Amino acid sequence: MKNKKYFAAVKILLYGILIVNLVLIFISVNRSSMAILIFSQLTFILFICMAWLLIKRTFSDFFTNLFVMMDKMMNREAVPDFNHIDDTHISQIYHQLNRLYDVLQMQQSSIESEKNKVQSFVSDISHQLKTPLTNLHLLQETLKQPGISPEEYQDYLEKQGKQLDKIDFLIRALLKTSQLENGLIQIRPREASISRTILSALEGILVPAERKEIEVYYDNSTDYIVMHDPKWTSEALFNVMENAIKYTPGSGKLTILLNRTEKYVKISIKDTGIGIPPADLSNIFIRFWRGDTNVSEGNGIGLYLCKQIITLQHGYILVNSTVNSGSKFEIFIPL
Amino acid sequence: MRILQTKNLKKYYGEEPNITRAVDDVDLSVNKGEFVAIVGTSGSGKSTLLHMVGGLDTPTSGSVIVHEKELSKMNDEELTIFRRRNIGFVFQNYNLVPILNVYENIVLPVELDGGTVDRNFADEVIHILALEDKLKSMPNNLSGGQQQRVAIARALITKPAIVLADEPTGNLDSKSSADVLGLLKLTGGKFNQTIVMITHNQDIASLADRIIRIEDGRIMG
Repeated sequence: MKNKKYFAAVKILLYGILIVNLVLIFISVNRSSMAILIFSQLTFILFICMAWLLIKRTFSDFFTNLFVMMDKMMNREAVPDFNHIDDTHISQIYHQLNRLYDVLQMQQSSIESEKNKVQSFVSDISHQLKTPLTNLHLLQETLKQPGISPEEYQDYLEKQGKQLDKIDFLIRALLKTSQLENGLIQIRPREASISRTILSALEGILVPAERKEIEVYYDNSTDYIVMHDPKWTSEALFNVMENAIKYTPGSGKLTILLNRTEKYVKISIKDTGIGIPPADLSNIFIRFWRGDTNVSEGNGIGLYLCKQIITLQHGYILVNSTVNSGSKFEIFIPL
Repeated sequence: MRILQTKNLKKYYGEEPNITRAVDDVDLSVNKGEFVAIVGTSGSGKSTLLHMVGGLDTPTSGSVIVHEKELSKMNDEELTIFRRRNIGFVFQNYNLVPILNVYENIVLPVELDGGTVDRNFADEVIHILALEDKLKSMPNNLSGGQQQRVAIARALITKPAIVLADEPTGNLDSKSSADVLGLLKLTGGKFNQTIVMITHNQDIASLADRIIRIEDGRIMG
């Protein structure tokens, strides 16, 4: 703000010089007086000196400010200040510098949040594994007790098996997410048939769908060649389909449609399940988040993993859902 | 890290007893890099809210703070320059300049600010938005989806910290909407931008990291 005042002052001074000199020269030409000519020169020099001082002051203020700002930025204690707003180049430089600092800070904080992610991941794993392990311990204790009938024995063993399955499933799912997150698994997009990818995902859900008598519809007559990683994309699609089956009551319907826009192919997966309340829509992709439902299966990994895989391929997912009537997931993958 | 905040923001029209509370006591806070969707029916006050956040409209009371700077404390000239440098707008009806070609429209904000166009960056934005073949075209010869992609490129060219999108797909068919949304999300992530998007469409909102519902000028949580 100060700078602006200085510049305005310099401007006025320069106009002043011009007008006074013009007037003086005009008078001196008329009267041809030496004294007036000399006076005119003197005022000229005086004004130049004053203008010079003002400009010098402006720049020294500017450089000092800049210097202090950079010093603070080096110590990472600067508060970006967007206070110099006018149409001068000086203001532009302040702005650029602030923006630069801002971007660097954001990158720094994203590195830190990556670190936190890994930490929270470790604590998540231990938390998730705790319940089945506790159950196993209890079952083990019971089995050790004398006087158990063979039927009970069999029953407990089966229960143990279920808990072991749970642990097995958890570990596998966690392994996948952690590999994906830590960049151990590279998504390798290549040109491939998207329909084939959809079919390979479908294979995985046919049996559970049949068990619940859910009708699965997919018309594979259209196909597109899309840059994508077939293995991981299939995994992502499978997770959405599996979820759909899980949350759809018996004799429902699962419809999969494939079409394209100018830049994307769209795979929509529509079920006739219990739906998602609007308030939960932005939570469903969060790791380990689980809706408040009676469905006990599920672990809050599938959709999270799906979003990771699709995002890594620069795609995105839209969700449309009506409680008690069904959900539709639209997965977009760039062509 | 917070980039945008409103405190007790109100916008009333008319006088008691016929007062209309377009925005009624809204406290909102958006962090850097977040993609926030504001959802509401038409007339819920969401556009008024976005306009005040972007400094296009002045509140009846309360304050909007962007980059720790209160918009109401700036004069008109400062506000114009601040907006140009820090906020990119995408409107429902694209608002392209009809007598400029696509490229000229895209770089307009940089030239208004007297800066030099960062050619590499411009090329990157143009490439992501698939506008290479259209640079010499006039806006009127483009489809709605293409025009909106030009508008997004224009919003990004100054590398603003915040992009405000007011029903960006409101005039588009579902296929073009898909393209525009995907690209908005992609560019936001790529260029470390904070995006606040207004929509009346639940599906579109599901794209965001956070959904804010607004009804009768109030946030419903």
